[in-house]
Amino acid sequence: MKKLTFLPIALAAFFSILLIESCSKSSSPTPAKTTIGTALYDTLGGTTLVADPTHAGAMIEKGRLSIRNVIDSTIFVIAADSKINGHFTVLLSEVTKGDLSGYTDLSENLTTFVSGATGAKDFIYIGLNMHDAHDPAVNPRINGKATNADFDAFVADLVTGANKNKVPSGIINSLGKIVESLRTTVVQM
Amino acid sequence: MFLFVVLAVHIYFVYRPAPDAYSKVMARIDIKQPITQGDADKISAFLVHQNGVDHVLVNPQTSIVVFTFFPVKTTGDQVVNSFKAHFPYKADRFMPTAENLKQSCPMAASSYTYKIYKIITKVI
Repeated sequence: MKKLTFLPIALAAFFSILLIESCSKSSSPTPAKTTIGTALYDTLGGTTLVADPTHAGAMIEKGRLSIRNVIDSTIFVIAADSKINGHFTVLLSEVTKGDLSGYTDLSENLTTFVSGATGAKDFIYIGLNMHDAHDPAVNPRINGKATNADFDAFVADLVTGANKNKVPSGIINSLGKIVESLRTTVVQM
Repeated sequence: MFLFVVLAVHIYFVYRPAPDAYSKVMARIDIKQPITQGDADKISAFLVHQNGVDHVLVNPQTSIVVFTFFPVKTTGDQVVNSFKAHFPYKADRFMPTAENLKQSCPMAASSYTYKIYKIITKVI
C-alpha cells in the first residue's frame, strides 16, 4: 500500500518526462508494439502465473518464463559465438548504480519483444522498431548493416538456445517462422 | 512543470536500479589456444562451483568461456583469476571498450523514456 500512494505522483512525473522528451530533438526510440501471432504465447504457458525460479517470492507468467529461458540460453550461445558476438558486446557491460547490467537489460528487452511478437498482451516493447533498430542511418548504436550470414547465425543460435530448454520442435518451428518473417526487415543490404 | 521535473528526478534517484541479490553480470574469457569438448566440460564444472557464479557456457569451437555472476557475491575479475590459477591455459578476460558498447546491440534500450518506464514499473 505504501508504494501505491506514490502512483498518481509517479504517473504525473512519468508523463511530464515523456512530454519533455517528446519535445527533445534527440529523442530516439519510437515506441513500437509488434504482434505477429496470437496463439504461440498461450502454447508456451500463457498468462498462468507461476513462481519465478530466479526471484524468490515473485510470480511470472508461464509464457514469459518459457520465452525468457530460451532467450537467456540463446544469449549465452551468442556471447560465445564469434560469428556474431561482436554485435552484442553490450552483454559484457557491468551493472552500475542507475543501470542494469547489459545482460539483464538485453534479456528483459528481448524477452519483452518476443513475448509481444508471440501474442502476449501484458508487456509493451518500447524499443526501436526492427527496421530502425538495424538501420545505421537511424540508429548509431548498430555497427553496420546486418548481413544474411549474421541473421543465419542468430537463427542457429536461437535454435540451439531453444533446444537447450527442450522446447518441442513444433514450437521451435513456429518461433522460427516469426523470426524469419523479420529477416527482410533486419537485413537491409 | 518544474515541480514535476524535480519530483521525477527525486523518484529516479530513489528508485534507479542498483545491484541487488538478483542482479547478474555476464563476463567472457577468451582462451588463446584450441580446447576440446573434454576441456570445456572441465572448465564448466570448475567455474560453476565458484562462489557467486550463476551459469557457465564453454564453446570449444571458439575457445570462448561465458559466465554470469552475482555482483553482490563476487566480481568478474575474481572468477577469472581463479580460472587462471586453476588451468594452464593462456587466457584473458574480454572487456569491451566504451566504443564497443556504444555500437552494440540496439535491442538494449537505453533511452531516458525506457529508464523512466522501468522505474515507474518498479514503483508500481
